Amino acid sequence: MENFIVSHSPFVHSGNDINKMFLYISIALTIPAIYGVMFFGLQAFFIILLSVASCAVFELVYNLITKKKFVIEDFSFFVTGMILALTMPYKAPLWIVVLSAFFAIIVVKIAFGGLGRNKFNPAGTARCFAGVVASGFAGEFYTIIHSGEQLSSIALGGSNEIVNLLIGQSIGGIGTTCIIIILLCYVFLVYTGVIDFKIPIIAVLSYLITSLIFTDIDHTLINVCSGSFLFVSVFMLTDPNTSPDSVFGKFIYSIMFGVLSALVWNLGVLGENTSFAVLLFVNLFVPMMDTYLVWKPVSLGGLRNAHKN
Amino acid sequence: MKLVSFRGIYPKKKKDTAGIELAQMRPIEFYNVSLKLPTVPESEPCVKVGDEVKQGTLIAKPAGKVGLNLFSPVSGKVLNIFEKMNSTGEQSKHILIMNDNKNEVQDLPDIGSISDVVLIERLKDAGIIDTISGMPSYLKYSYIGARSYKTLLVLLDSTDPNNTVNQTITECKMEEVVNGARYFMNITSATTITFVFTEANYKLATKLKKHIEENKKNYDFRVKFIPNKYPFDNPYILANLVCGKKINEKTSFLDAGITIESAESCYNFCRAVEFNKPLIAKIISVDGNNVSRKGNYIVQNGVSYDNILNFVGIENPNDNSALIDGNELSGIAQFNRDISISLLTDSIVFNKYPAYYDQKEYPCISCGKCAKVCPVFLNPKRIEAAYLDEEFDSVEKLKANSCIECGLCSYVCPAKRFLTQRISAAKEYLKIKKGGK
Repeated sequence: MENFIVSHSPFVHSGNDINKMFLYISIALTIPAIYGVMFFGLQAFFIILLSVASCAVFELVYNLITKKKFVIEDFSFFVTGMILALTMPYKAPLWIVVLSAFFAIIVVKIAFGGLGRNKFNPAGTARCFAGVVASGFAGEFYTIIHSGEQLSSIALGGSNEIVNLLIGQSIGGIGTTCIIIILLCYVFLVYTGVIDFKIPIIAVLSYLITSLIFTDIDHTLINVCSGSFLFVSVFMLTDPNTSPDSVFGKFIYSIMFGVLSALVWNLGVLGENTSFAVLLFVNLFVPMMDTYLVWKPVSLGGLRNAHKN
Repeated sequence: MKLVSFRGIYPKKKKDTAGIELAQMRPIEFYNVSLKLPTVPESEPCVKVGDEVKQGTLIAKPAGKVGLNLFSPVSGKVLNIFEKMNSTGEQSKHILIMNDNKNEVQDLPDIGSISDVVLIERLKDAGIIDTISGMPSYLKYSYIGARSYKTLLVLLDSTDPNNTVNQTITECKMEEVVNGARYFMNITSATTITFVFTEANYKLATKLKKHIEENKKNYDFRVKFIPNKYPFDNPYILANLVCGKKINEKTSFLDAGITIESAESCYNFCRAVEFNKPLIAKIISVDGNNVSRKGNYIVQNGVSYDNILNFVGIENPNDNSALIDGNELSGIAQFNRDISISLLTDSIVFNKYPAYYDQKEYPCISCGKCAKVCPVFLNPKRIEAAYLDEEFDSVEKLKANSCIECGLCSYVCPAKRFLTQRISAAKEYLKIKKGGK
């Protein structure tokens, strides 16, 4: 006689798994990380290591205090740590990295209820925090994060700026410099079904159009490719938890991000911090969009189990 | 002319039972006929213990106004009438009949002239059941005026991942299906028959067209295709897709003038009219990765799951398996092999589960995949959250009652949350609350 398994329907699953999703993002994130270490040297490697390790430790400590089981197959701390490190300049002081990791894990993620409950992107908010805190204390950090407008002129060697930006020969965050690698990651993540392909495309297009009001096409392209705008659009803007559900909501959300980024970049003084600050601002509107910009249910009232028994 | 574009999914798996010829299941010794179908009130037995019955003898008739005539699936002796559990888990009356292998057959009386009144009477006498809505067919046409139906849809296909009953009947018994559809048309005021196929079955549709053009005169029909997406064969979605009419709590099928019949109902109706055969068998797709001979079988009423599994063979009897009445996505798991099939069982799935099969839940990451796939445009994640927070007002506001329990939200959820389960629990709660008022 067999052992029957009795459970509620459905009895099959698509095989789409949360752990798989985090694994794919982690794989995608290691590519810019490797490039960053090759380009910026060992210091970048230490920042990445420290960031991931401190994220893990903070989550572990929290789980120990609240006596929760530490879920190691959950890669979310790894993703947060990696994204945080990759947006840091390679000269960032190490204490800032640890402090930001603390902010990301404890304040932004766990204080709101843990994975899936956070209202803001942990890494993006922590990076904003780092920009604000470090601007007063660390001299070097300050100069680099505020030199966004000059980034294109800092592009190293050669006369063709846009090519240098594409292959990553410029100054910026550890993982945000090489545009080609970021585009490759975008293709990989779309192919594996982890991110929505629409969000980065709409964000970039609306950025381009808005930016054309202020400058010509050459400078606009350089603006898009420099700084961390593309990195944020691909890895952070698409975070399923802090982006709207409906297609319409996604449109508005990414257009808001693109337009505001272009405005703040051209008119504001935030420099390299622009994308993270705008991301934080746009995330504010997501719960509202999830409430109002949704499909109307088709009313099939009085219908119970109409689809077979 | 679509009012809304429904979502749903293309089932990843190829239909294993498709293209397999109909086979008759071999006779067994004991038949346990359940007098209660999941959606029909219990019938009253009209035989006594010890009576001799033939195949096709009336053994139960409706207790009240609404009900179904049930017939003996075999010639033999009534051994017992007793309470037993049926496939929905309720206790109901069963009639136990022992096969005497004499194969005596009792048919219905000849029908005489064919008119709509006679045809509706025949639907009632032969105990034909509408396999789509699960109600006795005559109810749909007699009490509320068959003439108000202006559109007749005949579903010759299925989008279920496991169910290939309709397309197999169409393939193997095309003449009967075509004639049965004509009889249904005679009852209603429809002037044409709309045959509905999925896009996966162009070949079958061409074969049907050729068959009708060669053999029939004055046969008005057209063929429509729907996407091969689960659960598009749901009658509510079907009416919307094919006719562009919205069916909801304000507009019923009768108001919209749409009636939907399946290939199996047409086949049964034709046999009842032309050969005077009452309904005593159900055609079932047997599927699943622990089944040796998958296929479509004609199964007599009163046969248990155990008999079917013994007949089709189990590959690895020692593996952990699930016996599912229905399809993999919305069926009911059975814990007892000794339960009789009902006349509404479309498919049986016997799946073995891998050793790592677990139901571990992760937190919802709000990816929105459930809302993206829901065929009735609900937001399962929000309904679930409201249910877990016990905010039943917002559960109602989010239209949890519209859920058709197709199971797709749980199927796609990367966090493996029990969405279907919780939404059906929420619906159950709302039902109790409404009843209490």
